[in-house]
Amino acid sequence: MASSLLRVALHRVVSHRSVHLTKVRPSMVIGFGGPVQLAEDRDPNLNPIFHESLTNPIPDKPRTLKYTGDLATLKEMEVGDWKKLSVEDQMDLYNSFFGASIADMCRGQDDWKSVFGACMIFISFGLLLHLFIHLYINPPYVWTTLDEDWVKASIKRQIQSHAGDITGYSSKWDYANNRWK
Amino acid sequence: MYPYSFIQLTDSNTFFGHEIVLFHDFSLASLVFILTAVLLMSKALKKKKYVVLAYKGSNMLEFLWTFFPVFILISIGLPSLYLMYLLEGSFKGDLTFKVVGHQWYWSYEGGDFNDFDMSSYMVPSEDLQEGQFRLLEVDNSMVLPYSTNIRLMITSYDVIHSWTLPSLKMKVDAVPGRLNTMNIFSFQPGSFYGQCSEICGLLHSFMPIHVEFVNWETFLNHVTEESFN
Repeated sequence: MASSLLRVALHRVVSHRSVHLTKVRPSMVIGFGGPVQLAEDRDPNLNPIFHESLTNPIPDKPRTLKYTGDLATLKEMEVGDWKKLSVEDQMDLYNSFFGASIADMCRGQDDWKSVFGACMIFISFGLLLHLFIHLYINPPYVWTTLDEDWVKASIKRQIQSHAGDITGYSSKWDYANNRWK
Repeated sequence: MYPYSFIQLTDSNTFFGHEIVLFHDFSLASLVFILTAVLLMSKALKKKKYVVLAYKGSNMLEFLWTFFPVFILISIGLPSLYLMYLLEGSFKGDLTFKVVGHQWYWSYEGGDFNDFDMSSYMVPSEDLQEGQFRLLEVDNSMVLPYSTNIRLMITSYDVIHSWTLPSLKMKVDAVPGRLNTMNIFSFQPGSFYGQCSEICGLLHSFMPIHVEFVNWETFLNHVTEESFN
């Protein structure tokens, strides 16, 4: 129960935002693996293992397994002339079979924005910590072999030993005039 | 020797080194081709214009996506095998030297010079003079004559090490109880560095190799001096 609660909560954090940046139909929630339901609120009429995607656009079993009430009436009307069905009725029938339209599946989701934002927050904490250490816990300077004088001396040594005479330092040194080419 | 911020293969001083660099460039070009093709294909598939409604088979497609990878693999494999047998080919060595790996230094013995035995330890960073290379300088470097076919027999005293010289495109494992033979020939005199390339314990990163190629006179003087020491 805790895992399904977590799944629903995370799904709500990811899919629902204060500002809807994508046009989502209000009658439906797009989720992975089918409609999102809590165990105690599980609707027995909905197919719990319903899955649709671009590679499996028409699942074997519909989203609604048992048609009751208004849906049952619409199902009977579906057998007859479709011109008698209003646009809302057609949409209800479509929604009863499928979870999302092809356009909805192609639209993509904006989960990445939450993930990206969380990553940026953690990275910024790390950078702030690094800056703090750099400013206030600065270790004393120790000589290294990457100091400018040392690097120059090592390059001079490489030139003197003719190291890298095709693509290295020696190839760019003018030995006749004792300067860089 | 590598310049600072260098990411390519270093200049090679042997014939085989040039061949290895050419083969490396060729196989890298193949890999870049494969990567570009795959990226372009994945970019095309991500457009989401395509919806799978039914799965069909295609023998021609299956043949093509088997044939092309096999073709690419053979085109990389054949030069690789050719180069491998070329490196190991029959080679008459004018000189023979033995390289023995220890934890954590190298020792060089002269096969043709009975009394020649020398150990080569890394110079610690604190004892370096300005301009010397960190973790590469040694107290006794191996001195060899250039323009000479030299046979090196490499082994180890304790654990597996690897005798590496990137400038000569050499990497030979030093395996205890086994003699690995490699031939070395340098076009010109010079100073070449390498490092142990097989994890061998605590100081694996601190057992470098330094080889100096000199003329025969200097080489013989060096051998005589070391034999007397």
